[in-house]
Amino acid sequence: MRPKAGDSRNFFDPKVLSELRGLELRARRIMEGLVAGLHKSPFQGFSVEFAEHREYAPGDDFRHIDWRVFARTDRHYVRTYEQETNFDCYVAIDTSESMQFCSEISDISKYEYAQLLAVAIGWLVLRQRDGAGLCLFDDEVTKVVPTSNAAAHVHRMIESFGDARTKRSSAIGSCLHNLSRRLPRRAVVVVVSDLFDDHDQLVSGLKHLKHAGHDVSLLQVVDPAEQDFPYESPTLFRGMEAMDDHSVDPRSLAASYREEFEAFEKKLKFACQKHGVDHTLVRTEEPLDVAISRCLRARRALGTRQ
Amino acid sequence: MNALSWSRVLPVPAFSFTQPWMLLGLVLAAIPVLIHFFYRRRYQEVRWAAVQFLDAAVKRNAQRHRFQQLLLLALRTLAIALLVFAFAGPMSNANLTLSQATGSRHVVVVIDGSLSMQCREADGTRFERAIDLAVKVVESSGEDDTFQLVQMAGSVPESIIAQPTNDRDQVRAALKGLECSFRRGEPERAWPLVLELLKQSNSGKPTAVHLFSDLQLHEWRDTATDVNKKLLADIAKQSDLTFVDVTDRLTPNLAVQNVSVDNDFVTVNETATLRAIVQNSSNTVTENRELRLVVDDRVVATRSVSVNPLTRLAVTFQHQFATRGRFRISFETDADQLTADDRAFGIVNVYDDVPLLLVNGKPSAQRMGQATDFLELCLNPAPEAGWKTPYKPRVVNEAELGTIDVQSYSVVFLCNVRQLTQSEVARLRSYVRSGGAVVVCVGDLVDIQNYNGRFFGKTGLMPGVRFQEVIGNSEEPLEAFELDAARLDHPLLSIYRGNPGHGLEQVLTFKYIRAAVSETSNGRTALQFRNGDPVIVESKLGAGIVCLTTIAGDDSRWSTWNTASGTYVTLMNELTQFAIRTSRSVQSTTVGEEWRRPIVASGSMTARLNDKSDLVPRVSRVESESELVIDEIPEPGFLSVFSETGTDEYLIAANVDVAESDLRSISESALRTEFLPGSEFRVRNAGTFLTADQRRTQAGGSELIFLLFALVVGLLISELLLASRVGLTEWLIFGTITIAIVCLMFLPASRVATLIVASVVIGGLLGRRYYRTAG
Repeated sequence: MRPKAGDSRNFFDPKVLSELRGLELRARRIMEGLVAGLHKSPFQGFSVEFAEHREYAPGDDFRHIDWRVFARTDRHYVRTYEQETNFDCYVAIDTSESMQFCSEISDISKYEYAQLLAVAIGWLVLRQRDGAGLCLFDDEVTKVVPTSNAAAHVHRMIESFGDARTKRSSAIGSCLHNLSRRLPRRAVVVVVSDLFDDHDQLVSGLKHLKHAGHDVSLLQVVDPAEQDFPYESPTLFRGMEAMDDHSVDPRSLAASYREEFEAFEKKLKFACQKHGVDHTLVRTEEPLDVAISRCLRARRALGTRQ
Repeated sequence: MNALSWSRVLPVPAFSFTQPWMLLGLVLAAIPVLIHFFYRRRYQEVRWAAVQFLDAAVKRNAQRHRFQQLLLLALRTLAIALLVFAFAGPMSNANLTLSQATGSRHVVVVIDGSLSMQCREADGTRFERAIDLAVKVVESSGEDDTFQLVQMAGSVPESIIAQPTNDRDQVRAALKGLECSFRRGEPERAWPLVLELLKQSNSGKPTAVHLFSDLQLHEWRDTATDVNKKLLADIAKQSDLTFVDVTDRLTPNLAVQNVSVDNDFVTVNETATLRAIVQNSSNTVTENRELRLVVDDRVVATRSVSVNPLTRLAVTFQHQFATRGRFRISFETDADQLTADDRAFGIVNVYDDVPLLLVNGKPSAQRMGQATDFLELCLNPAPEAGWKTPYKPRVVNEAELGTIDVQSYSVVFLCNVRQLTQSEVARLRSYVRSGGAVVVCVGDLVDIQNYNGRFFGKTGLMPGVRFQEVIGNSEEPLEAFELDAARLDHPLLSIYRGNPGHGLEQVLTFKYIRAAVSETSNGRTALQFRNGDPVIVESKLGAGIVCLTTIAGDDSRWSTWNTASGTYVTLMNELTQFAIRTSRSVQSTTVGEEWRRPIVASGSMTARLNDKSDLVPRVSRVESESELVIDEIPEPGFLSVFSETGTDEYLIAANVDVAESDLRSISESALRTEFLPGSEFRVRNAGTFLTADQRRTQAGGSELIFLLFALVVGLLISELLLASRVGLTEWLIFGTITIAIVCLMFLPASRVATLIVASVVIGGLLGRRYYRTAG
């Protein structure tokens, strides 16, 4: 499953889509704005044009249960409206050089995996009539595709990727600062990146987004080799993003490397919990549906706690 | 603890190798280094994103990683190097002192030159092998090493190089110039000399003593006295003592020894029984070996003999001599590994008759009135009855004693001679010392004072013996003295032993001259009265013998011994035979010993050994007496000594010491337990005493090789554990196993088990490593 950039058919792989179809993307917070239907909103009745019935699910507002249908069928259905979801979801994708990494044990680079994730999330959001947008960044925000709830918007998102791969280094923290200033209103911001950057700046950017009222999710995409460090023979590691090269005996270094990686993850997770950001580590070998499901479960769990 | 003691507990490894060319393999030790650099160059290249973790890990592990790499490299290199060392056959002196390892030392080389060293082994004689090994020691010595050289053989060990020298050419030449002797080995005689040399060296250098010997069993067992043990222990304490056993195995050896003649004296055309002992000192039966009797260089008889292991067999030949004279006889077998003892020599005197001189001290015209009459009759009692004796007695008056040539008589009897002049005593003394025999028969005329002053005096014939008083009264016998017939242990009385009723117990004596025999004298009582007073006393003097009877033989009133049961006849014949047998018959000696014989002639003497080599005898004079001395008879055979005037002539058979024929060696364990308990020394076999390229002796070569292999195993285990990056628990397990292996390593019986355990451990670790890698 190695899609070519700009080839939208890959992103609508039936298998991927069928797996995503039963999922629910729920905003964890009560969104400001015109959110109705599935999402709790302080602004009710913004649009009442009936669209269809949908089976009741825990969390749905009792007021939307269609009691007539219940009387006829003895089952709970809620009424949905054309513009019941009206939140914006921005998927921010890291396009820096480190995202191009693809190890021998993986079939897909982190960037390609991030693209799939973005499109899948965008498709999901659009399916709910919410607005989906896209943001690309490396050491700066290079492109922002405004949100739209049109079904065809996903194609625009895909086309926006273009040849976005760069050889520049990443500066996630500053990009998040920039993004928080550029987003016109509060939104769900899904950051897809390997997050291999300065921890403090990253947390600072996250805090800024949170402070601006955005609902932030971190999808950390890593290559399995980056986490497991499975190398045996002497290896010259050439640093991406103009980092130093290291010629090492991986066997003698693996344990320390893993410890460093785990420490970074632990520290990041702690910071995310502290600031109400859900964080999900995704390995590029992981199926997309599983990854997105885990992301949504993490969001739901965080929403329940909050 | 002095420096020497410290040196004993602090061994300094100084290695040399049996196969030094194997050390070329040390270049293999470079393999791990080459592999290391090779792999450093042959790395894979990966573009890497998560550099920040790698960077941190590298920074955190940089020192440990570098140390681990170097340690692994060192372990691998060392393992290969030790393996190469092990294959090169290392030798070291475990007891080398620091100065030995780094500086010079003083070596006392002791070569055993005894007869048994002539034994031929596969590559030459034991002596030649000892010399070769000693030369190699010298040739491979350091420039500043000094040497002293001792050859031990016989009673006088010889210091060949007495002053320490570092001139290797001199030492080598001295060693090459040594010859193996025919002497017996007396190693204990060499110890004081070796100690003296060690003391002389006094150079402050560490000292070593190398004894090259066949360690003959009897030489050591016979001399295992406390004094000798202490001397040897002192040597071991003061030096680095090494016994180099130059024997290969227990060599079969058949030896001929102890040539003798059964007859008291051999006369012309009488059948003589010639006897020799054949000894087999090996553990195998010697079958059908030919034994030859050679008389005057002519083989006269042969016989096939078979001798059981470690036994002696007496072999006799019957032979008749057609003429009188002295005959050279020898018993010979076929040559074996030790040829020197395959032949034994003897001299046989063949007589027409035996001339005896009877000095009559009591002239008388009456029949049987002279002092010698009865004795003359006894010595030839019944010629008309066919009782033929070889004796040819001649009776002379005492006045003739001063002028007659006594040397031509086998025995001189002094029968009731009243007095002896000083010159007569001197002549008789010279005669006895040169191998003659004198028998004194007392009587009523004997002047006790004269005898005590001259005959029994210091310069007399029986020093230490004295007449005391006349006991009893022959005229009016009131008391009778009986002979002690129960004591028959003297050879003179051998004829009576086992013959009850022989007559001695019936003899009654009424008068005798009491004689006292000093314990410090050579006098020995052959027959005595029941009261302990001597009846017959014999005393050796020089090569001859003097006998004394304290009962008159010519007067039946003194005793019934010349009337009762023919006792006097028997005793006088036995006494005469005994006197002849123990005087003139002494015609053999042992190689390596000093030979001396009193001489009468004043002219120069010549000695010739085996009719070819001339020896130079010297004349030793003590007061007025002369002795001919040959300091040492160097080889077995016949020695003839004669004067220019022809007045004196001796023929002596020289034989090797019979003990040298036993070629068994003393074991190392016996050396350690019996001779040097608690002392440090080494015993090396010639095959393992490898001195070709080094000046150090081997010390536990096999142990060292085993140790090296064990170290290699330990290094490999360590390498595996290190490379596998094991945890604390595994290190603890490894430590326990290592300690167990080290403990087991020093128990020889458990070495196989140790290697098995080590193999299992290594195998397990390899498997584990492979499993991890594969996983």
